Amino acid sequence: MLFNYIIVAWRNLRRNKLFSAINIMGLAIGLACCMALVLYIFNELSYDKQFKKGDQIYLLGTDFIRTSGDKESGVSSSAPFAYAMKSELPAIAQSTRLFRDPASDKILFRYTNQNNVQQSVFQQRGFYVDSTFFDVFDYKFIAGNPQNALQNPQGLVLSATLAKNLYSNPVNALGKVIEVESNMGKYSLTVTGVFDDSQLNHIGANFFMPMTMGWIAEFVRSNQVEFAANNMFMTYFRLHENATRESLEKLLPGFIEKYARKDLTVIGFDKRLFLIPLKEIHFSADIKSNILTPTITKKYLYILGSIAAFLLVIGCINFMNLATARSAKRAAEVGVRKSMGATKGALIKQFIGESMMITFIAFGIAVVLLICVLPLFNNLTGKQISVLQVLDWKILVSFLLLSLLTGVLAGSYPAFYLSMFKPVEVLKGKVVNNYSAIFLRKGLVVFQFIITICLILAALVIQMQMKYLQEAPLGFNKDQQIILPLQTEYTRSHINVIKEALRNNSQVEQVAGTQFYPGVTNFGDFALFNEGQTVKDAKKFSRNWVDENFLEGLGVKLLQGRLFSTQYKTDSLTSLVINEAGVRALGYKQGENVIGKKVYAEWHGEREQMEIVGVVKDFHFTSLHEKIEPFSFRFEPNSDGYNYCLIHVNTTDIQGFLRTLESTWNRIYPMEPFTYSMLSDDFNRYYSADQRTASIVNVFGTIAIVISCLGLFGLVAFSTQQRTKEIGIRKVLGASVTQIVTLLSRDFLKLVVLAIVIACPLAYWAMNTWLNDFAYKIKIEWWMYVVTAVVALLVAGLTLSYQSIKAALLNPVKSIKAE
Amino acid sequence: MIQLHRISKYYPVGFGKNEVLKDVDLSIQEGEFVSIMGPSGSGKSTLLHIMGLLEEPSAGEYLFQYDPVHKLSEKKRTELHRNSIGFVFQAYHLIDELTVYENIETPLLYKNMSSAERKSRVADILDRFNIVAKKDLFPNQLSGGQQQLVGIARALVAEPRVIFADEPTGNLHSSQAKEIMELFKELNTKDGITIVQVTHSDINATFGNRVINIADGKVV
Repeated sequence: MLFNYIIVAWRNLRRNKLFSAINIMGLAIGLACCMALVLYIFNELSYDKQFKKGDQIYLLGTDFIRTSGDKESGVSSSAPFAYAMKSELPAIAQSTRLFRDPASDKILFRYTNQNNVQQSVFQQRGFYVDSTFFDVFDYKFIAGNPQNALQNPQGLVLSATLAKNLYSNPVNALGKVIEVESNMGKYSLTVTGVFDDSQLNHIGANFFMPMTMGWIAEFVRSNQVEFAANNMFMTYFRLHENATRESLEKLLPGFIEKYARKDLTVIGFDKRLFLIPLKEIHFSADIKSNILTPTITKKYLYILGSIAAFLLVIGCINFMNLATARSAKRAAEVGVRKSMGATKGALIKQFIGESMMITFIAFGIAVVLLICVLPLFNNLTGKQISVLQVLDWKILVSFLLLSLLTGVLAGSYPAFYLSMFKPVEVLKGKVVNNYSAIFLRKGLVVFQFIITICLILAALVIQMQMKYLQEAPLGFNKDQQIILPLQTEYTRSHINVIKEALRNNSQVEQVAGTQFYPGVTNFGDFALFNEGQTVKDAKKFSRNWVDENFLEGLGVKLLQGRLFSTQYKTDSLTSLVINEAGVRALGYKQGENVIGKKVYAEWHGEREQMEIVGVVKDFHFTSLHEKIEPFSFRFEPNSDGYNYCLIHVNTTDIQGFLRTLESTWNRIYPMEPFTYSMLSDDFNRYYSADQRTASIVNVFGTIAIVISCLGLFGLVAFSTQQRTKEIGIRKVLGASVTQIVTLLSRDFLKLVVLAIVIACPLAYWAMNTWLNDFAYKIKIEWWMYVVTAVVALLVAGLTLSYQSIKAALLNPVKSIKAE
Repeated sequence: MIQLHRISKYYPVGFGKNEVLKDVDLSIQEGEFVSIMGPSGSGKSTLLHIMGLLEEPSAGEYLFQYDPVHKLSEKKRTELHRNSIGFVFQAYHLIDELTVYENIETPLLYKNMSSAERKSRVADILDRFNIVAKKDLFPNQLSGGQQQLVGIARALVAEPRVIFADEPTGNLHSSQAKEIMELFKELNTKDGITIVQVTHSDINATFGNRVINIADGKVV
């Protein structure tokens, strides 16, 4: 019996190649996309899962509250919190701190590799941690002992990947000596451990160094009691097993009162502490401050999840639509089988089985498809999902079950529908497209197109916003700016040499030194108030220490006063250049002359007086996600105080200039490898997540459109086939080709129009939510709806026209005879 | 074997009803070959469908092999379809996706017969109908007469007590029709299978041993 069913199913597939292909490919593509997105979501959810006591680990978060009521959340704390809290609060079993040096993201490694060759390379993502770090985070060590790896002040712990890069076999790294140089100074460190970094976590470290190096060692030692300022440490706790987050969080305000109140009163703001569970750190995108690796919102995963579900649903809808539409053809078979004694149950089994067989084939194709496009998908999403993860039996089995379930669902309607037929009616030819089936089919087409139209509008809005982000005037010159990171003491102290060397180059407009530049996080800030105010009225200003050339090189527009100059002795002491937002924040009117006005910062009761010498037009130091905040520049006279050298060139031959630059660099700093970046690239990195969203929506939106059209194509093909005779008769009676095409397309186009009407407000709401994440954004305008509607109608119209024109051009004699 | 007592069939139309059959009394004995005749729309097909349990009467009593059919459960009816009743249709209604052999085998599958027995039964029938050479062809590769032959073979393979044929030769030309009717005659006389056919043709009716005329839903 089963064999008989399989034969019928298989021959049915082969006989109707077009419909089978549409059915199977639609479903396979839907399944493959769904699988890909689920793998992506799993990947995001797998962060921070490798720590055994992960449920007990928390990161300390702080709300910084100003008297004005402004609140800002961050994850960095002052140095003494970690150990003061551990001794005060018994729920905390262990605490540890992590420091990421904002001034040097690249650290120079000098080492001897396995072939006895001296190497020097820059390494990124190295962090300074307390010796208790591995007591909180139980990384799996593949060499060395986590208990004492960082007890040694000359210890260095590498990731397996890094150790493999350096010594080819990660285990070999143990005991090797590496000379590490950064703005902390130069140290000889011994590798005391190698940890497994095959699993994702929010730290994303390549190596860990003890917090006993350079100025940070001195800073940690001397800052035992300052609980308000210098918030630059990530503080983690591991709680006792029976302790709960809620009970601990209740004690935090009391802790602030006891330890920090005094400092906070002096400094003029308040702190409210809270705990972030380890597993939620990766999803804390609402906290704007830097959390080591990029965070995401869970909302984003929900969006991807719904896209995945939508694609699968669209595939299933095609399947159900074509199956019910074609049921008329199978009806006779049902009638005959019933007259031979087939029960309703047997027929239901047959049709569900048949549909499961198709989904099984589709599943096979989907897996192959996914494996083929995996590199493209990884490229699109910036993930590294391997074929092995796809072939993981848990994933495969769950997707197999999912596809069989799809088969049952998609097959059940036609199955019940077909098996309900009264044999006499079908055998008499009184079939079959009853009202409810047609209604359902139409409803499904509308649903499909609603999703499609939403995705088209989303893609359009995202595209326009991305274009706006790229093209919006930033208030400074983003292009033709080359950045040289100055990571070691030697390069820092010799910046004047390279400035001199480049000044004579006619391709160079300006060379400048700076602490930060647009494209990296500006970590410096302080609170300023004007003459009539006190520290309580102080407003937060970002602060960047620069040289006399930087502002000119960057190309910000001067509105009042002057920029820094070495001619003025006072510039290095009290001069201040602020932006327009800063003028407003200090309580002056827009455009009011503020040159010569005094402003103050207060630090533990000591007041520092500064004078405004210049006002620059507002510019975007960071992405357009953020509002332009008060910003200030100060003059740094010490030539070794800069982290970066900015070179503004006037040539378009950047590659040629870089070659010159490299040889100049190698002449001045023979000991250090040449590295550079383009400011525009660094700045655009702010939008990499948006860019990714854009490409994901584009790709999957296109796929959704294709699957939907595939389904529509199938339905039209079927309905024209059914109406061949009618079309023939109409033509004989004198209908024109246009009239027939209209006749065949009208019903379907009506559905698309209905979908447009329903989809527009939905899409408007969704895209407005997305745009709200940007401080500067485009408006969704009426023409975007028009474009979306036209695209949807055009795509649907093209899909329809092929079949209907084909039918309309058919020789009527043939189509009438065909009966 | 078949006893109809005051059988009526009507469909609701607007506020009234459209009566197709009115108080039909009829009995057919085992081994008869009955032809039902009458003009289009007289209700003869409906009568055949009711006798074949494909349709239910609106009123009246129907005894099939002394069993009151109108009281039978769905399951019992299915049993009867499997074991006692065979159908032959005007439009043949072979399953397009199955070969001749597989079409004939299908009723046996619903009887849960063993594979070996199925094979021998189908082989016997193919042999008897002289269509062994065609067993691997699909219905659309056969002529109308050959398709109807397969249709009859399929109706016979389960060894039913009665065959209901609804204008079995309606789509065939006269020489093919004659062959089919001779086959029915032979099945009736040699195998003792009861045959009830609906036909328009007086010639076809002569092959049977009794004619029932129907007009306006009544036996005349």
